[in-house]
Amino acid sequence: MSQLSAEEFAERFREAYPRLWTVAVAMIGDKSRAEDLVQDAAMTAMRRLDDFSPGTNFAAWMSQIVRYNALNELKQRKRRKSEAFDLHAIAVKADSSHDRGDAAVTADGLVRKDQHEFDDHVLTALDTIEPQRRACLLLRVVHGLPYEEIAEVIGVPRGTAMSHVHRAKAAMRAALSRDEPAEESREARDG
Amino acid sequence: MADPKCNPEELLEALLDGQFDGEEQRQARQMIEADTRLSEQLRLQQRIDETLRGAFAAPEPPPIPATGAAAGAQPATPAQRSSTRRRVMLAAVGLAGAAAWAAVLGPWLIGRQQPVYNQRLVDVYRGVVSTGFEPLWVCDDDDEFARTFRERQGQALVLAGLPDDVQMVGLSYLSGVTEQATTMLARVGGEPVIVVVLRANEDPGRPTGLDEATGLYVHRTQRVGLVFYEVSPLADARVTPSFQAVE
Repeated sequence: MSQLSAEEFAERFREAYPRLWTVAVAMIGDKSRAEDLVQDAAMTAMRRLDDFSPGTNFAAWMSQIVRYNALNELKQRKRRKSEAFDLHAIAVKADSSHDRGDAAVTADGLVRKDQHEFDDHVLTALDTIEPQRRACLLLRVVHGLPYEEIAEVIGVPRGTAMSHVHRAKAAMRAALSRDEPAEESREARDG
Repeated sequence: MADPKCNPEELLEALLDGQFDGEEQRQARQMIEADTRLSEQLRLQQRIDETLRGAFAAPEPPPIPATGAAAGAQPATPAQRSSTRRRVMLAAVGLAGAAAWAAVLGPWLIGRQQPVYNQRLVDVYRGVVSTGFEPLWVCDDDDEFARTFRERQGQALVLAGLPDDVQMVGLSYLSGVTEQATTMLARVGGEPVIVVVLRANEDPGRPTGLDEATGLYVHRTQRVGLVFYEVSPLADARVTPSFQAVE
């Protein structure tokens, strides 16, 4: 029997939502679908509250439902073969707040003329990373979660979560290093 | 202090990870800045992180059932409207659930906290059966199935040679078991059976054998560093023997 009231569920859901959305978008690569996926997971969770044991990690429980829902969706997509997984295109297209204008200004005050191109390369590189690893990376970088929490949310040991983040970062840097000319040569190129 | 003899890549990772404070951080940064390649890597990672934070800022949570309705939800913005139907459904389910719980269960819920992870497996079984015995994920891809167990339990598993009367229904997740257990739902001769798989070092040691109150059996098997609990109305474990470890 569940001991979680609707109000408690709502509060925990609100608190966990950003992490759940991040897991969803990392898994399926579609921001608008990620919102629906999390809400579908919430509905599933509310029907199955008996599966949740108060005192355990709500976000971890919900995250597992989100990930299973995402896997179901990816399987259906694969069957339909109507929509390729394209985190890069979808992420850029779906996020109007991501429009940085023609020149972005970094924290050190430098103007990045090539910011759009760089962003494209980042998203392309991200697209090549395995979904679970990608989820760990985003939970760490975007939400600043400690590895213990990432491990709980993703359902892997702490060391695995840390390894996923480090490997994902290294892979991103390797991919971007191939794409991006060194600062010196870029300056020379830009003249 | 930051160890100058440590692997430069490790130093970079540690700095990026925020593992240094104060003076250590200053020293680590100094060491990295002295190395052209590492300092480029540092700046590159910072720029990547900045892009990721910009591209993947989470949206506002949707209106919350029950509490959202009680507080008077704000009108939806255009961006929110795309999912209005689902949110309405969510709110409806939430309100119906809240009313039902309040009317029927409310007085019973106060102060009834069970110890964490201390649900009996036979109660877990009955809970799953009472909610329809529906899996969260139907996995019909052996590689995906194996990968799930490798990621969660550190050992890839497949189902091989399932008897004709045994059918895998799918995977589920039951928080009362342990956070890192994986649960499989199956049917044996039409009877619902659950198998809970967890690392041996995370096994709290559940009661096994026949639970006379429910007529259910809890079978425990340990192999390849994992513990398999099979909860079933049958006197023998019929699903567990088909789990095989793979690379």
